Amino acid sequence: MRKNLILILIIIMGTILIGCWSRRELDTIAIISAMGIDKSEEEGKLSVAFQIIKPSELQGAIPSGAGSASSKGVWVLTSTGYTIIDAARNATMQSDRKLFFSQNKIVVIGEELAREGITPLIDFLNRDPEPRRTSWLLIAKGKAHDIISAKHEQVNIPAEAIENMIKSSSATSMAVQVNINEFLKNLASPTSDPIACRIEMIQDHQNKNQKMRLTGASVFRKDKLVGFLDEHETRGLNWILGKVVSGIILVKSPKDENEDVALEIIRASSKIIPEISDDQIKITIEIKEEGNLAEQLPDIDLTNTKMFKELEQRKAQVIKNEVQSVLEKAQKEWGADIFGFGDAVHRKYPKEWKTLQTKWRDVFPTINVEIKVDARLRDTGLSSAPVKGR
Amino acid sequence: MLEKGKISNNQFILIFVISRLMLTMAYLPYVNAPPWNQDLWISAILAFPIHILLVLPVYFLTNRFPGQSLIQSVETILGSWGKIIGALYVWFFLHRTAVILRELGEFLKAIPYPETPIIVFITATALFAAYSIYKGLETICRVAEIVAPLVLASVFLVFIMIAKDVDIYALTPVLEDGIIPVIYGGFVIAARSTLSLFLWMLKPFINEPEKIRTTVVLISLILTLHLTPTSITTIGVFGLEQAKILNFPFFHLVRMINIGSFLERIDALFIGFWVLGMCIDIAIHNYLAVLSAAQLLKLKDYRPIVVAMGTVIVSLSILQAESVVELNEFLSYKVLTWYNLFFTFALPLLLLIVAVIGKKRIDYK
Amino acid sequence: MLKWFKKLHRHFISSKLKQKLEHKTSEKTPNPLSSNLQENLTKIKEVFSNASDIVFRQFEIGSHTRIKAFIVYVDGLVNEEFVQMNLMKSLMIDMHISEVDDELNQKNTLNIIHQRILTLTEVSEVNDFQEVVEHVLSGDTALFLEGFATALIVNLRGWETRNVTPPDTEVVVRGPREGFTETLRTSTSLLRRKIKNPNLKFEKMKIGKQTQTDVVIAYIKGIADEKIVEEVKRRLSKIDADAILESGYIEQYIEDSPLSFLPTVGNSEKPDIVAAKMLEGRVAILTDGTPFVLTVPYLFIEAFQTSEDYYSRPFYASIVRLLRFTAYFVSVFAPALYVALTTYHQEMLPPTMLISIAAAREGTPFPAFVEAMVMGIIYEILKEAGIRLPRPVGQAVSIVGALVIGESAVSAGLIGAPMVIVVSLTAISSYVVASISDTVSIMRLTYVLLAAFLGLFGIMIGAAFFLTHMVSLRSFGVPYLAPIAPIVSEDLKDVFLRPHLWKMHKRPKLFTQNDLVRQEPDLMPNPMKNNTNNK
Repeated sequence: MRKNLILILIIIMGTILIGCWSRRELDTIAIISAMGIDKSEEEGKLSVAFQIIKPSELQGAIPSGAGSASSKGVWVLTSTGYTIIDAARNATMQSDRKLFFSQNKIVVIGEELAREGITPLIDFLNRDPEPRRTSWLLIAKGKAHDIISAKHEQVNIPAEAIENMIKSSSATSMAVQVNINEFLKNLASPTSDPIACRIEMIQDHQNKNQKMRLTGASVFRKDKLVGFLDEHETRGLNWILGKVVSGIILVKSPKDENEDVALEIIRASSKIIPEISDDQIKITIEIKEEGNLAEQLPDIDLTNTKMFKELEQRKAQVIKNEVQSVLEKAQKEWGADIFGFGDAVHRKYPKEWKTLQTKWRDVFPTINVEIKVDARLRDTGLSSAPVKGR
Repeated sequence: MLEKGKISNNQFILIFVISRLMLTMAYLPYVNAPPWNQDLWISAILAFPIHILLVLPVYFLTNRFPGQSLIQSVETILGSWGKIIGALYVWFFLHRTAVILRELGEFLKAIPYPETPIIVFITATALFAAYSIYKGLETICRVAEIVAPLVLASVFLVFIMIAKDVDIYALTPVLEDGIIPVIYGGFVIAARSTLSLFLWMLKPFINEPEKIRTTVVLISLILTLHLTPTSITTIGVFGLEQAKILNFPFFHLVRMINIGSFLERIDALFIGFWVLGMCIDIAIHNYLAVLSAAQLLKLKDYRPIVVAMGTVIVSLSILQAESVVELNEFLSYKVLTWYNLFFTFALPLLLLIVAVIGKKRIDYK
Repeated sequence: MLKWFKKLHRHFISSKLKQKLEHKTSEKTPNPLSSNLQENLTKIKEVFSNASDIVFRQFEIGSHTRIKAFIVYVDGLVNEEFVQMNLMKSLMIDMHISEVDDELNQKNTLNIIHQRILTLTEVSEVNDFQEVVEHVLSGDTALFLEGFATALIVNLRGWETRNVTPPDTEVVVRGPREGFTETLRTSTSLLRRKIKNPNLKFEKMKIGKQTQTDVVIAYIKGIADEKIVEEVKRRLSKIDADAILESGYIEQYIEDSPLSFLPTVGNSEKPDIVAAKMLEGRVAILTDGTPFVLTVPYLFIEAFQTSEDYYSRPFYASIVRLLRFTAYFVSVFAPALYVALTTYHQEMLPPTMLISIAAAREGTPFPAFVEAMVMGIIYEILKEAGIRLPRPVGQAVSIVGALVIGESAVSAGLIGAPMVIVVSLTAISSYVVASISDTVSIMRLTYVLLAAFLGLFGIMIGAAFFLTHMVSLRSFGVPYLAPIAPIVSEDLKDVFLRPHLWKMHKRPKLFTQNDLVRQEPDLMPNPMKNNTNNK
């Protein structure tokens, strides 16, 4: 019996002694929902803003104060350091809790910092076990801190709002959905250049508040930010990548050039077809689109075949213009292969690729790109003709 | 007889599959090996016949010496010289157990328990291994019978759940660098397997040894069916370059799962199943080490040496490498392939030749 | 440690051997009856001295040749009316009237009484004194005659018994309500009424040096595995206990692994369940004095199979069975998982859930695992109190428990609300598999401890240990976790789902190799087909 007791004692002592290293109670961790990284005033230092969730304030707020801007569900903590993890550890000196990155959904990087290259920033997100590769990566036009400390009218945790904005951006297809994994995949690829979401604070004209808005995409060359795409250019990029899901295309009415007709995108797809002849690379982008007549302002009946054909052509032209504009910027101006042309060539011409690979950066801007758009109109919606006022 | 238990052929399949699967699930060492490109999945398929080929010498040996395990038949062939070869094999099993233990510890230390010392995991798992060895081979195999279906089911569930994120174009172009590196890759994959030694040690305890050919084919098939989708999904989701960098590709794959934004963050669950599988993996390897040592020393019962062997294994697993980098160096295809091949293929082939020349065999009674 | 086990083992064996030797010498010294009536009377009075419930009645038989006689019985164990009407009356009055009275002489009395006078059904002749005493003590009446060294043992048993009532433990919505009673004979009769087959065997034994408890081994010959029956008999005969007051005593003496906390002997209070188990090839052990009947071999999955599964239609029954497995895992793992997730693996919780839990945990004084332990222990206390207390008070306890522990502790900020939810969920789930709910409690607390120290790794190592322990168990030679491990594919169909009765045309392969076929394999009811056949 005595030996039994000793055995039990050893087990209990053992478990008590070995345990508790990695243990962290919920009230000892600061759950981060978003982080923003900027250049610090001090030379060579980073300034990181952490959006920390305050659970106790959120609990009561859900039934009663939902939507009230006064209830703050988060606390923004700013800290500086030479690397992100350095800044995170420094933040512990201001916070009573250890920062906890696993629930982090949003990583915002300031424009200025992004232009200097973000590989050193991303490394932490890739190496540390806590952050997830499914977090969204955004580049702020301006300061990342402004984004992190911005409030949202509807949601108590602004990070959640940003996430939902990104997710629902497929309604317009005028923004990109890029998470860390996606970014790293393109960054690591020998030819492709990565893109990231773009976010900025814009002035609300009604009540003079600033609010967050997704405004297109940001384009990198290697790991350095080279520029931003506006919303239509972003859709042009999405046309090429085949990532357009839904959205509205505005065309001028064939009967009245001052009036707009809104056409809804139902489905779209694209194909990138490379062709090498006489050492000359030619790329054909084939875009197929189908849509509905969604809204028309002038009370002119457009529902006849001739008008439909006319509308289809105008729509195709709009799409072509959008694609053209993004090609202009990314290919000609920045020389960033964000379209995956290199991969397409690699797939089709693996042998030629071996020589092309090393000089791809030089070849890429000179590639001749042809755009073929096949746009269709299928449906008129619920009414065949507009309501006519008498 | 040291071990009175009998195991069925199905149990043998499951115990071996699980002992192969678990490390692949965590480390997936093949991405950083030939063919170094997106043709890994073809290598995984090619590994299927190569795998069977590598088992052949041992298959003929076990047919020549039915009812005898590795240690015993080596002694029958070489006499007292066989003791040395036997001791080599004991070392092989011992070392292998230590390596797997260390890999378990490194994984747990890297992801969910960064602050906990590695010895905690190693000791706890080694204790479990010792306990199950006391209970015998039958018990280990029965636990495998419960755990293996769970693990296999969860792995294939992962494949289904991640399928929508796979970019199938990442696998093209096919056969970019020709077929040779792909075959080499298949060979490297197959050479990591220790099936021949498992077969040699455990065949005396298998219920229906006459059906062993089907068993071997089934094992190779299951492993291929696991590795092929694994390599397709890993490369398809992360791209080749990223997959090469990641320490634990498959684990990251599980982390990427997000279905309808409610079925996500299931990685800890994955770790749970993985630990369960690793426990069995370590238990069976440890068992083989203990059994072979007992057979070498001609003990009547292997139980007295379990604790001693366990202690050796725990210390070996900690002392064998200073850091994870050193461990990975040993585990890379450049070292482990040839180290393994020596024990699983070359040595048995040599012994087979000696046995044939010396006309040594045991006849069926 | 090993050495110590060995020492213990050696000690155990040697003491057992010693006892056996002593026992052998004291046992079975022949003690024949005397032919002298007076001698027998004094001897038996001496044995039963100071026992006020023993009744002696001396009288004479016959009118021509008078033969002295006496009967002895235990008051309360016999039906006195029957003794008067059927024994005394026939000996003292009916005999005088009948013609046998003339034939009566000193030599043939016993024979005549046995063969022609006594109208009772159960009469036997016994020569041994010790045996007579045993019979008297178990409720028989002994008749001694002058000049005969043989006593007639007459069964006139009759004592106060409980009626056959619905048992409290295994409540059913559909199915027979009757349960076994404390009387062995009633219990066997209930079984016999279920299985009207001469192959149903009831083998009787007496166990317990002091209590001399009747124990019946029941099995169906031809279905039950002979080896298991033999093994049961062997283990029962080896019991050298002082007393058997309940079948639990027997269980603890015959189980395969007494050091395991898992039961390897099943019990039931209901004849239909025991009959069903016997029809699958199991052996039942009925014990006098308790309504709980033991069944062996007992497998883990039996806890998940209830009689009602088979009485109701298979579809919902299958769902319920899956629910039972779920509930079992919930009740074993839920608190441990909660502790592991909230203290080690927060990344696994969905964000909204994590925030809610974190909000509830804010400001509570104890770490999660202390909460889990405290709540677990409080729940066990409440459970125990609820069972033992008289019914009116029991309600008060549950009110106090629910209100004080649940509501007030949360609102006072002592315990987080999620923990209360987890514990109550656990508590309810554990009653879904009521028959092993006590082992669940042990496992639950162990897992909480492991989760507190090593998180999910701890739980999984615990699970690995536990699984290994479980698969290494055997119940009378049958692996405890069969047919899951080792896989017995033929028996696997009745584990997670409950198939149609006509699909289960074979008995479980585990218990018996002989007479596997229950019925024709293709008995799916098909009225259309039957009609055409009739034509």
